[in-house]
Amino acid sequence: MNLQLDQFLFILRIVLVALIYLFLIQLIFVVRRDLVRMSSGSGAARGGTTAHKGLGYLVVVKPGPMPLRPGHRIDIEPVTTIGRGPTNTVVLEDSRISSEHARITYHDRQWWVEDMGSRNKTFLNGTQVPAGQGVPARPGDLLVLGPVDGVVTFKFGV
Amino acid sequence: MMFQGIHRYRWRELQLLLLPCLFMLTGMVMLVLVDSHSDKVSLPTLDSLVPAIGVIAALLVTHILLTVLLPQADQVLFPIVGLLSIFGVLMALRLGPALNPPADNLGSKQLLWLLLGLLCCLLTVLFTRRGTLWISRYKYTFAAFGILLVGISLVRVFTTHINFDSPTHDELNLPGPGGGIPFQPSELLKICLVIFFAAYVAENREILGEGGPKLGFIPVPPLKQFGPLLLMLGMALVLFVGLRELGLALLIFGIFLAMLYLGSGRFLYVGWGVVLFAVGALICYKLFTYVQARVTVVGINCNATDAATRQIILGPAYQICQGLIAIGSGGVFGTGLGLGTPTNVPAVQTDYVFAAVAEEFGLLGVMALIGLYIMLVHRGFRIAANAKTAFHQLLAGGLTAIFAIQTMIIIAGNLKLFPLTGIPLPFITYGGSSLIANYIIIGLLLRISATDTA
Repeated sequence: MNLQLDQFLFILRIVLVALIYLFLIQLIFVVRRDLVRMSSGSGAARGGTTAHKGLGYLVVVKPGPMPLRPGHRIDIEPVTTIGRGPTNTVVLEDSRISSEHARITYHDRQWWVEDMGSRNKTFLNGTQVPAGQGVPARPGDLLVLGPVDGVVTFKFGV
Repeated sequence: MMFQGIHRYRWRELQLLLLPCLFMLTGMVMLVLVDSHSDKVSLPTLDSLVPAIGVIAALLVTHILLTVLLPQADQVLFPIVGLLSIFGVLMALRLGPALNPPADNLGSKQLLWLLLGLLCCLLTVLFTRRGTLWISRYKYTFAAFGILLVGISLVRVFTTHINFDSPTHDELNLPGPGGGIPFQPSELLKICLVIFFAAYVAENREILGEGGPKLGFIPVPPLKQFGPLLLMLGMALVLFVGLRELGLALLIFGIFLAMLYLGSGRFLYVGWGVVLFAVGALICYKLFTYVQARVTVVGINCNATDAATRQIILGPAYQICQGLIAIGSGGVFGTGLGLGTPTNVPAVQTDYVFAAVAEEFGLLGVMALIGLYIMLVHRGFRIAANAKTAFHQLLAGGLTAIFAIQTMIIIAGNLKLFPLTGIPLPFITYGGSSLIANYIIIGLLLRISATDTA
């Protein structure tokens, strides 16, 4: 090679900085694909949380060990299941919550809460919800899942 | 832990590691050519490229081990950190021989620390095989361990009266070859404190999130829950002040506020925190002369010609003004790696690496570097957002906050926007304890990103 050292070093300088920028661009592509996938996935699952469906929502009162904040709202579907298993509408990961713990249904223009045979029971306003039988719930009622002091507490809202 | 088939291989990570390895090779070639002082270009010999090959091999081996140990972990984090570490090794290789007195093996020492750091990262991943929740149960143990380490070095300073005037007392000489291995225990204390705060805030989230007593119209945080938090924070701050590492005190305070806000969602705490910080900063300013010196230096005009200012410029402000001159001589495109004179700045390989990078890579290089740090912080917070339990969210958030706040403080110090502190620029500053602690953080972040993913 008959290149002068100066010229070659000049080329190398440009290449060096260009490599960092190429790396940043590569990163941006990866991250962008990541964000698109995340937003489309969660958008389908939540189906627009800000718009009220008219059915109502659960307000988190006491989150326990869950990564939820007090005041967080969860929309209620016509059939909402709560439990530890991944097929539930509301998934709560704690060993004191049964895999299928409770179910909230909406018919006759009324909410109904029933316990799904959970180990640590479900309580509505302090009264235990019997397994397999729906108990009517109104806005403002407190839904407690788990032993006496409750693992997670929700409040019904419209 | 069996190899689960080719579709579980961390392709993305391998793809992303390609450019950093190229960067290392190019940088190494450039350094060798600049060193050769000849007029013609000759191909560099293989043994002069050994550091480059060593770094690339280490990164690839770590990548393969990560595939075996933790295939579902975040794949973008390690390449970013790899590129930053490569920057560090290149700068150490470049600055070492040019220092006064020359430290020819600075580069190989940095490379050794890098290898140790990668090892610690993998060890962290191994130790958390059963998940990271057990860490939250030992929060007091971790905090005590960190404080003990730092306390030892503090006691040593006061009992043996070693160098009371040294810029920092945060040193521990581990027994080892060549007169002991210098180690900064405060780096590990940072991690221990974050673990403690994360575990404590995660457990007491509800109480911290609800109301507290009111002082007239001003709400006050619930003091009973705050007790252990404030105690731990207070101990850490006293230690740092005793160690003359006020930058670290600032860092820990900032992380504490960040995690408190992450955990409770209330601006109230941030407000009280800022007030407390202002009070503390004022006290430190009045108490310590070296704090006053560093603060006045920030306000100095390096172009001034009057006698009084010039005396300060040639005295305490020498380092900062030389740093600014270095950054300025870099311009937009930089002088080129190895072609500038960053060694005019005192302590350039530790406190002022950023200025050295700015001089040799220019504005373009520095903006790319800041971009890399932004991507690192983004990735860390994303891992925190995707975490499944409160403790993991807070731990990942706190660890990322370490990187974010630390980088901001040291870059602002280099640019004379903020008093200079002894905080290292993550992964690039020459120094072993910083590198090891940062890689332990990366190991924890990788483990958290792989927990409970489908």
